[in-house]
Amino acid sequence: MRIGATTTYRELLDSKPLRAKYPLIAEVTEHIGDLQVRNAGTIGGGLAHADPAADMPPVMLVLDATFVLQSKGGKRSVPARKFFKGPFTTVLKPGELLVEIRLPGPPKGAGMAYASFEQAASGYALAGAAALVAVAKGVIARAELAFTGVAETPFLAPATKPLIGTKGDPDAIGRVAEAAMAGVEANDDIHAGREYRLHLARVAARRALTEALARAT
Amino acid sequence: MATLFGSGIKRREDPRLVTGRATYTDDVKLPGLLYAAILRSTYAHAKLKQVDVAKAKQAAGVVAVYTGADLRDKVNAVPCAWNVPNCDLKVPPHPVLAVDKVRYVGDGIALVVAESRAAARDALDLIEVDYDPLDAVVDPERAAQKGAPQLHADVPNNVAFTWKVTGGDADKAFAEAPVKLEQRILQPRLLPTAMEPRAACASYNPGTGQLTCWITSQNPHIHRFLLSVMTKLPEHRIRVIAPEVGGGFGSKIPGYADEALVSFASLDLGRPVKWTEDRSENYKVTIHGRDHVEHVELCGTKDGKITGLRTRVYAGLGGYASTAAPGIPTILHGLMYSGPYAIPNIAGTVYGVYTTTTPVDAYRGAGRPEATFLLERMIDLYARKIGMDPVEVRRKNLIPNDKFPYTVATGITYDSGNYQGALDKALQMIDYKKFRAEQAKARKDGRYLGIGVTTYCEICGLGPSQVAGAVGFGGGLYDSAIVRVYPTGVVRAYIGAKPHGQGEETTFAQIVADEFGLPVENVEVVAGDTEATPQGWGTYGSRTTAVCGSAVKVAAQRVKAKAKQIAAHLLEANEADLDWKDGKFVVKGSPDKSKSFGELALMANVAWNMPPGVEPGLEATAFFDPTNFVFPFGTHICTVEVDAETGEVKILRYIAVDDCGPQINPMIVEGQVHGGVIQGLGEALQERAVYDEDGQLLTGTLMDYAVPKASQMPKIETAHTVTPSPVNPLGVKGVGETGTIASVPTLVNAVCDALAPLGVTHIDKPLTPARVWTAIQQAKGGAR
Repeated sequence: MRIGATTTYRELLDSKPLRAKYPLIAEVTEHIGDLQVRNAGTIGGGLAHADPAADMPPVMLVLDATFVLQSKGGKRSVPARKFFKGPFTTVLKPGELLVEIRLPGPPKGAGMAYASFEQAASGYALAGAAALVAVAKGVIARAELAFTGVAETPFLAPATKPLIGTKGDPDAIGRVAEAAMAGVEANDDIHAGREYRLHLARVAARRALTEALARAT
Repeated sequence: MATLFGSGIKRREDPRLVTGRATYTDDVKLPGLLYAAILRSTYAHAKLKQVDVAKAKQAAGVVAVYTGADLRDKVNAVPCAWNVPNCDLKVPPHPVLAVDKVRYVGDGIALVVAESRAAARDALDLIEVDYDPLDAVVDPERAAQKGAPQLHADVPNNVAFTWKVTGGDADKAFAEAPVKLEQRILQPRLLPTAMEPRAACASYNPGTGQLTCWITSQNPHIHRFLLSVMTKLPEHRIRVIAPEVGGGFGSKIPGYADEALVSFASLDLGRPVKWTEDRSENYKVTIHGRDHVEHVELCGTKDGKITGLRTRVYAGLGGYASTAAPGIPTILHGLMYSGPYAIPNIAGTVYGVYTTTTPVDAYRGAGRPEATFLLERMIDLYARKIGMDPVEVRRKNLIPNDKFPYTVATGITYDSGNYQGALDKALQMIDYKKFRAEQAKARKDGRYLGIGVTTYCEICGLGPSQVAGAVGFGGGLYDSAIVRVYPTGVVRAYIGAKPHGQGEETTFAQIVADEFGLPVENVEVVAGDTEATPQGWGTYGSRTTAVCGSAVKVAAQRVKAKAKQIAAHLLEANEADLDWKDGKFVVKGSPDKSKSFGELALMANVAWNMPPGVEPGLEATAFFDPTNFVFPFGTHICTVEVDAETGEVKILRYIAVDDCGPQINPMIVEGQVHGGVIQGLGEALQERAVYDEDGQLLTGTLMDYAVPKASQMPKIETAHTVTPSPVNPLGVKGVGETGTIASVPTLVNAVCDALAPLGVTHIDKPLTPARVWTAIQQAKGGAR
């Protein structure tokens, strides 16, 4: 599926094909800003803004989206997983625009979920986790986990492998959630200290993976 | 005839407010209008070595630029108007623009006046300021210690005042008491966040010598006086208009440099000048609230009888003493240490302390929420310590119903009360015993349910002017009304107070219409223009209905008495033989002989046939000065569930039982309770202004300062008891602040109760998930 960068959040919510194929995008969109923001704000604008605590980037990471960037000089494609460079910083060059988001078809029967804890004033995530879990023959065939709000950029957790081939029992999920924070340089601000933020990220990861597994068919 | 008093009719203010047809100060547009912008200090504490405005003066569209040095001899300092006695109060000068030193981030340095708002703002960037930075100090307790950075030359250790309240013999009570406890309690600084930021628009007419100033004001007559002091213009040449005002919560009481600056500029330039702050400027410059560091001790018997309370409080004042600032943590705080309880021995010391932060002044509740919070928190800690139910401790100490009027140890006398009645009603609504059973069961399942109960009373309806004078308040506290009847029988009431969201345009019309037997539509209420309204003292301290509403009532009674004289004359009857019935004076026994209010209005205004010696016209003025404050009270109860894994607090039920006496308009009362409770829950759960060590405000925008959103707040169940006050003719008490006073400890007590099995005793506000989680971790660590 291809989504134009200036598609508003409202249009995402109203799109039946999107809801059918990527229900997680609609689910997360409902939590972005407020009604007025969703009516005016666009998915491309939000992603290019690259707020390190925005809700949509980790969804793009677990879905393994590709971003199409265009300038006068031409077009190039960049995987979402290589797009975010720092707070409010991306690989976009001067004169270049994010014009399109390309989504590969999700694995058959994949379950997806997002869990987050909001900063009370801004509504941005103190810590949020998106998960995608695909099951084949009764065991987990694929598991993706990505975070927002925790560090300087959204990031994909590298350590979901222990879940592959398992039924995803709570202890295994808990271990993956725990391992995902190993070595992470977590943000520390007036809204959440480092330790609490890491804790919330682990809880969000566990809740997102558990829910994604439950939704997988 | 059914009375309007007690009827929940819709607020007449609302249609124009919700359809964008209201006129606010920033909507004022005048021919030749200029725009002002103010350069604000970026340092919390610094010497000003040089302020170079040469480039700004040359910028396109700029008409004038002024510095502190330019204005030093032309505009007087911003006055402090509450000179609390017997506390060695030190009020250093607060120049309208800083001259040699800045004392908080946001302190004014230069004023730019330009042809457009954009030109004025752009020119700020062209001003070069050479600062010599000094150390900042933002914590009031630390600022009062030796060696802390000094803000003002003549204020050693930054201590503006040391105020004491005593009653009974607290030291003896503590020496003898079998149970003692102490707790350090923080009341964080809050940002009032009125929806409409502050603005001022000044227009000086060189021909008449009159200055008109539109100000976002809760008290236009006070602002007229303060403007007169600052601009040196005599009071009778100043007209202050407060048009529609979009909320204040106390932040639009004080006099600010800003309205003096635009007034001076208009005087100097002969053109109107307007200034409007944006939210970021509002958060830096408009007063903040609370900011206490409190050391509290309570003592009592083993069976729940409180015998003493001691406090040592450091109240942050910010860089300068704002208009009412000294009175807030003293008169409105310490005198309420007994709350609704009979506490025989009380000793409190409050230090007012200057810090390199935005000035602190009255914020909804103003001193009373801080008093209620510390008392209600201590009672729950006491109950836990002696192993008694917190409701029973409260019941044991509440002032009995038959003891009113009751004088508490701090020396003030409560007008009336039925504290047990409100408590019983609230307990019944929540089904207290049932909840305790559910809680016990949930605890076995590893779930954390909690209940918080607050019984409160508060002092409002400010207040007798004689007391105002005795406690150093620089004004009266009576209020006023002119009730004017037009020839066609319609009525206007011109009032001295200035409602800005509280609905008195509606409720006061209800009072007048009832008195004259008129449809409410025939009565208009006018406020906010010093040219039209009699001297009054404004809307704050839940005083408007109790004091100004009483003036309206008395003025209407006077009008009616005159109408009766005229009716008797026209009907050739004795006044004693007239009955008032269905809007008419009727001769007893002769129902066909009557004069309606409309007929009398016409006859009085045309004066064709007046009684001998009676003047034409039908209007009356009343100045009402109450004999005492009023003391509304009630019980709030909240139940919560805490997610011990994340620290998130979910409110299960919130019950507010308030007694504000008879209610003129129950719908408006309910709205006040809702708003107050939500503002208090914001304080309890998520609001906190944070400065870093350098005095920079980290919560400088709504992205970081968590004003509650509708989606974050619970449903509020309200109920009432009705205990009239004997101190005013309406019997009413205030209800504007009860919600913020009661809800904060209610929520915090509920969360601490929920976490009792983990050993959590106290968590400082606001109870963000991060803080609750940290408290749980610390308690677990301690248990190990």
